[in-house]
Amino acid sequence: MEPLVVGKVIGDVVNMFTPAADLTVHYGSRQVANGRMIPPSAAVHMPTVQIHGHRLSSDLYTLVMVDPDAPSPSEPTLREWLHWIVVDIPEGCDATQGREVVPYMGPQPPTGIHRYIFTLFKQKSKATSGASPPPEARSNFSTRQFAASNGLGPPVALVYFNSQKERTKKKR
Amino acid sequence: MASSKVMASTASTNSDLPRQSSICSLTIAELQSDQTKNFGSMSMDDLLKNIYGDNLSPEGFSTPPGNSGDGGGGGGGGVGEGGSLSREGSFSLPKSMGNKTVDEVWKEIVAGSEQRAAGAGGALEEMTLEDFLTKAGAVREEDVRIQVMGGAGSYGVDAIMNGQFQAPQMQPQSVDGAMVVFGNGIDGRVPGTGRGKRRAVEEPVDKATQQKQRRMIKNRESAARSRERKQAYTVELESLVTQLEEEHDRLLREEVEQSKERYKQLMENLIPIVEKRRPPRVLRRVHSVQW
Repeated sequence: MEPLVVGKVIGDVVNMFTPAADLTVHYGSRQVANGRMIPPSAAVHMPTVQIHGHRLSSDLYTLVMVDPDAPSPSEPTLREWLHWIVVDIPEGCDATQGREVVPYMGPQPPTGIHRYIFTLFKQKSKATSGASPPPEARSNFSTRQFAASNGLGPPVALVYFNSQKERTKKKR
Repeated sequence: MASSKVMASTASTNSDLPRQSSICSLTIAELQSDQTKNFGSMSMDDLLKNIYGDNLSPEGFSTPPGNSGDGGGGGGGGVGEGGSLSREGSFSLPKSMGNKTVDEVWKEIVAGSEQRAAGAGGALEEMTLEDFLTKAGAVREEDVRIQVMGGAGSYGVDAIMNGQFQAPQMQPQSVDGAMVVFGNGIDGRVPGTGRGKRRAVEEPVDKATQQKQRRMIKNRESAARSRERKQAYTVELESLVTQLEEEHDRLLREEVEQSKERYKQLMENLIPIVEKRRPPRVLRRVHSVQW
């Protein structure tokens, strides 16, 4: 929890919460640990998202991935940039078992070092697409508002990583 | 400081009250009738001399050069300039407090406001109210505090410091309230002097320095973010390390337990099985001839 506070994730994207689910996110062999640096090239494709728990449980989860530092951390005029939304992920399963409401978009930070945040919510019931229409644009998204308008309550898990534009080796 | 100016005025009031009140009434009348004062024509020095009397003459009219410039500046600035003068005066007359009444405080403010008559007209009201409150609130505090401390160098800061020390001994409740107000007054003062210094036409030099400052600020923020990032990651790693260490210990212990358990099980299972003794080999003639 402390890294979330120090990294200002709690504050910029979500409010204080109590972790209640076991979430792990892997890009290949790299596990997403709070504040870890992962290059965009390693995050082009969607990660393996595991919600550890009892497969017998009927809980469904929603995962939201945002970038609050778009387009640049010093001037985040497009905060938050929406990267991914998956709903109806059964407990004990991978995100591929859920329904992708907003397709995965990998990090493409133009300037500076951006934070990419995975927020997990526990759903009260199966998400019906009629309940609230999917966001139209990726820019200026609000995780808090999304959670509120979909009745998701506070987050149950959160993990984030940092990413910045890679230096392209220009062949002379 | 606002209150120090009040202080000095109080001091001078005792000696030449009639003159001051006449001046003040004059200023009030002047204020009401015409903002752009004849006082404007009279130099700041003269005005202050009139108000504070001759007590201050040796102390120096370290007439701050920005004084006349203060006319147009914010209220805090104008009062500040006057305050710097009165500060010195107040130390020559530490004991002569007298009880300040609200009216006298108001007169001080009006007199002070004359110094900035040329400036913000509308803002005058708001400023004076704010100043009024600080002064009115701070006055009692001032009286108390001044009597205790002899004379201090930098008035403002020391005043607060000493005030905080003295406060618990004195009337705690009212002092705290006054302290807060006084603190606000002081805070209001410092930026006030900035406002007071009339910002003339922006020269190109200023723009360049502004740009530099902006860049510096951005850089500072970026550095702060970088430090935050670093710290957040460090904290995360530390927590991961402790987590993993615990898990490691737990798993090791578990492994030891498990292997012990397995050994025990094996031993238990071995007991019922007894290896049958092979019968001793006995030689038998089978196909051979007996000699």
